[in-house]
Amino acid sequence: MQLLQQIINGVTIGSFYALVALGYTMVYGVLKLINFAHGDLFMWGAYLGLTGVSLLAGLAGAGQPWMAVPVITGVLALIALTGVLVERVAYRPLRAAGRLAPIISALGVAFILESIARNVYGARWRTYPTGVAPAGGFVLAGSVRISTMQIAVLVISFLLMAGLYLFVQRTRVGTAMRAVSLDHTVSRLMGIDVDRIIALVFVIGPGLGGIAGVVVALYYGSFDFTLGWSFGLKAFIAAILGGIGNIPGAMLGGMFLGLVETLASGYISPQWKDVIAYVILIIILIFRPTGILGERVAAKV
Amino acid sequence: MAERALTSEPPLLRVRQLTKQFGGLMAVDHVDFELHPGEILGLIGPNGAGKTTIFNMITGFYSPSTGEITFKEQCIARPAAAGWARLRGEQAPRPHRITQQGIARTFQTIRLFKNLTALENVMAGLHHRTKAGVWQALTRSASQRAEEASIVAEAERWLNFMGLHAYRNELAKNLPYGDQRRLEIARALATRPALLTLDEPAAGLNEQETIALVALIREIRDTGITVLLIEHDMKMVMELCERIVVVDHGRKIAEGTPAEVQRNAAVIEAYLGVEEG
Repeated sequence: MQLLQQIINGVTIGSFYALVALGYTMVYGVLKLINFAHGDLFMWGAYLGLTGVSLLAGLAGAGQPWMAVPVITGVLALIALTGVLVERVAYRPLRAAGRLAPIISALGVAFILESIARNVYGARWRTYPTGVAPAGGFVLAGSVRISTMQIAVLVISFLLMAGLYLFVQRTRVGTAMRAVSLDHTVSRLMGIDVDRIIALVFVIGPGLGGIAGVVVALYYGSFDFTLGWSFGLKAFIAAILGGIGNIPGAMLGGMFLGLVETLASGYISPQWKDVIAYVILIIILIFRPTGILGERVAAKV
Repeated sequence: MAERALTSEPPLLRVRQLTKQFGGLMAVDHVDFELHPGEILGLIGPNGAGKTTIFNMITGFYSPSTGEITFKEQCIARPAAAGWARLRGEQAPRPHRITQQGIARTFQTIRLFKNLTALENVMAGLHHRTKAGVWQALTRSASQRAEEASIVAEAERWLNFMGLHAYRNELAKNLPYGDQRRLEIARALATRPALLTLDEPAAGLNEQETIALVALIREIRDTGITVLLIEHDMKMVMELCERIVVVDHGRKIAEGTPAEVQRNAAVIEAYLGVEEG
């Protein structure tokens, strides 16, 4: 019974990791760049969501679950726009400059985004107005329950990931995206506008991260400006674990990390969950250095 | 070339005083040649003669140091803009623009999208001809689905043309070597080029495969596509090409029919003499 409960919790956290990991992995896929700013774009999603929800709650007098819909949509658009802007300003001019310069640029953007967030929103923990995250839940069996919020998280994540997978695998633009991830030069030669595809990746990746930011903040209730580093770093690890550059890998890596963490925390000790989770991670990387799906890259982006 | 001179048709490709300098090295030194619609022209020369550099300028990978290239009487390559001109956006067209204008190429070393299927590789070649943007792709409108279906159908036609239909859903990296070369040509053809440029297409092929390739290149030309070929296999070049341009140390040293080139003293000294002597 307790196991089932842990799995439900683990999969919920795992889908957060997976959503954020997708942003890391897609950018790596097309640019071979670790976009260290991604975690902070995700964190900005949480803050912009806070502003949006507070505004609506102020107007309506109280937080309501429906507010999540316009807020998530707005945050998605704003974070996607920021993502494209970051790529245009901080990465594209350095694309010919080898691999180190863009990484440093990415770290710079990460610090900039984090500092702005701290200066604008303050360093203290911030809490979403109550009433937005759906309350209640269902008892599945005995003491095992799943909250309405968890159901919402799972449904949203599943729809986004399935949609992304179909888009990348089944559409022509998705095929072009996979082509770009394999060879920029030849893609150009095929008439694919590589810059546009890269811009699109910076719409989708940060967009998903922005959605995740709102949903994570709703789920946990409160957060601070270090969310990008703490949570974002774990999502990055999930991307590596699944095989960076590989879309199903990011989903799998996220789920895996979420489950291992939750199980370790539930059965052994919350204080030791990170130790256990990362020992397992290191062992996996020793045996599969390219990640769980690292070699089977048919679905790479 | 007398009959060519009589036709009023302008050359498809005109290379004028083309020069590329890498530091102190003159990789290509004031080369001129023309390519007429419907012909198969061979570009030959010893290793390091500058053939691939010329190729890379035609296909937009390098900008010339001086000189220019016109295609369908439009300038497609001129020296890279510097300084203020660059800020005003006066740059030579990039490869994807050149593809859109109708030049396709293959590579000396195969550069397929290894982890895409054969069909997807050819579909990538069709990409620039589609109109649907990201939004349509996401919403999957009826017109977008129709476009998608016609793309798949056309990609399959090209696979059939190259005899590769059995590999439709096979990842490109799993194809036998000779078939990978054919797939690269299929992908290039899918861009619907007026000019197909082939960089050593027979490299690594056995004699039988080379014979099949010669027949295939003729067949491609007969569909109205002009072919520019770099090749080391002399036998193949002499058999296939109607005209040959010979370069050595970056300079054009001869031009003419295979028979003329074979008799040319400079060519014999620079190249054929070494190989056959």
